Amino acid sequence: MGAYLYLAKMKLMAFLTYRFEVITSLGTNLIILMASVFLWKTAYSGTDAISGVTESQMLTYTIISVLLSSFFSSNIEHSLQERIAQGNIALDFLKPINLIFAYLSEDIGISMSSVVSKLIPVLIISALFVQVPLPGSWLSFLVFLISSMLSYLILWLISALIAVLCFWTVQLGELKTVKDGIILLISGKIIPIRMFPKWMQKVLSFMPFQYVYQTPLSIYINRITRQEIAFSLFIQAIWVLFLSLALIMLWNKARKHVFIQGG
Amino acid sequence: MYLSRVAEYMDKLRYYLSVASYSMKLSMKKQLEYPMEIISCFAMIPMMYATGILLLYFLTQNLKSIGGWTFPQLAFLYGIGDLSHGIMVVFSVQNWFLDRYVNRGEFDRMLLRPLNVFFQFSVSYVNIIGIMDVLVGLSVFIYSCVLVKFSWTFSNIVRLVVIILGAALIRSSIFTIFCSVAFWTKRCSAVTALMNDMLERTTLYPMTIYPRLLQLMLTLIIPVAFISFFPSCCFLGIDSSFRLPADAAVMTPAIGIITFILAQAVFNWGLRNYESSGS
Repeated sequence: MGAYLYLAKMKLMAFLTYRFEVITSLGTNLIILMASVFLWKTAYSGTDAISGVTESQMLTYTIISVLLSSFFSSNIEHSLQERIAQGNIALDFLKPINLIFAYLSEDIGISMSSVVSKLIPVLIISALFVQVPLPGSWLSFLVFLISSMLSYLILWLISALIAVLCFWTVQLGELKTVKDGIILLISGKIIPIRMFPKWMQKVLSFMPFQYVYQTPLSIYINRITRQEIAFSLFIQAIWVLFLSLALIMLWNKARKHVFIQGG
Repeated sequence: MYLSRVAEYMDKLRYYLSVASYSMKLSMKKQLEYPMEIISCFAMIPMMYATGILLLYFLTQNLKSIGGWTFPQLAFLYGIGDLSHGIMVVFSVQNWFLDRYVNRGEFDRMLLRPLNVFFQFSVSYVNIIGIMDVLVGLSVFIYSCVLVKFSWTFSNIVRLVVIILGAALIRSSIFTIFCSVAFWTKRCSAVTALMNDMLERTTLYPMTIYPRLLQLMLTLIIPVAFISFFPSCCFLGIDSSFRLPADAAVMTPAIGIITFILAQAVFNWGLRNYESSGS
């Protein structure tokens, strides 16, 4: 009897631990939301519009950005690093499945779980305390969904490309944090790229980062024309294609490398 | 009588210092085993700090000021925050990984020794990579001092040093207090992430952009405001909308010591719950 009680207690504790983790990572999202909301509220206290964006548009932009970032979590760097360091990768290669797709589906699974644990709570809290983040129109909402799927793929592919480096370096160290830092700054996640100096906007338009956050968010608040929308979706698709090819090439190289190392 | 007691305390202090320096040297040697990782991190860290200062720069390009603070003033606020963060990362980054100590049963060894466990934990790791954090933080800070035309008088330098050390102590104690949750839940990575984001967001912008209730919480409950906000207000002559009982050069170290004592108490409370790794 005592043993069963112990098992039950262990299960309960494991559940509680998990729930605690969920609540704390929800807290992280809420802190980022809160800081950005108050930042923009202060910024708009004297003016009606900053670079043509109204306060309520900017707040919607911020809320949706936090929602996207709670959904856009990639675990591949961590899981691949662990598999390589512990040699489990050798077993993975024996499985009759496409490993890239397997890792992608794992990460999609994690993202789906954060819909319940983070996205919905953040949405409710921001609707109650900030404002209901309504899209510019129904059409822009639909296009936003397509665009954010492409964004997810771009972000995941960038993470996967970094993760594959593990085959050579074994440890990734700070690389993931650096990637997160770069994305924070030049993807439009916190401040729209439109507020950057003109020359910098030009440079950034040749990089994939702004297509991760700025593009879907601008579509959502209806800040860009139809032609621009079509053009950005096209560029997003090009980036997905280009990064996929790069990943496949690097992956095939890495496969050979892992056998040399012995796994 | 008194003299012999003083001598006794001095002996004790010397003993603790020798243990600390030995333990820290050992941890540094362990890290130098993997020089490549250290070199790669040395190249990365400056980039990460650059993002914070660039964010403020781009914002002020469009908004002129944030809550009445101009870019040089914001840079000064960020500089103090950065430098204290760097010092914390060198000496007490092990707080972030307290769950590893718990899960690997690392405290077994420490509990067997006739020495304060919190002391042993505090000196068990010196993060060499953190030296880069300090260097970058220092350069951001000096750059901001040039921007605000900081007057380098002797008393100002002394005030700065105590403030930054006090601020590092506050940061480190906040992590000890919150990461001690690992003694109960066996995990603290999400708490570490939460605290890191919280500290970053609340020290990046002047606290006055937040509602009064939040300002009170950041002053009285989690004393983040003493890390960089109040010191910056004191040095730059900006109204903080709080009446402090003393200068920031007194308050910040004092709050640092109080939180440190609290942190030790919470840590020891958690340690009583420690049940080793079981494997």
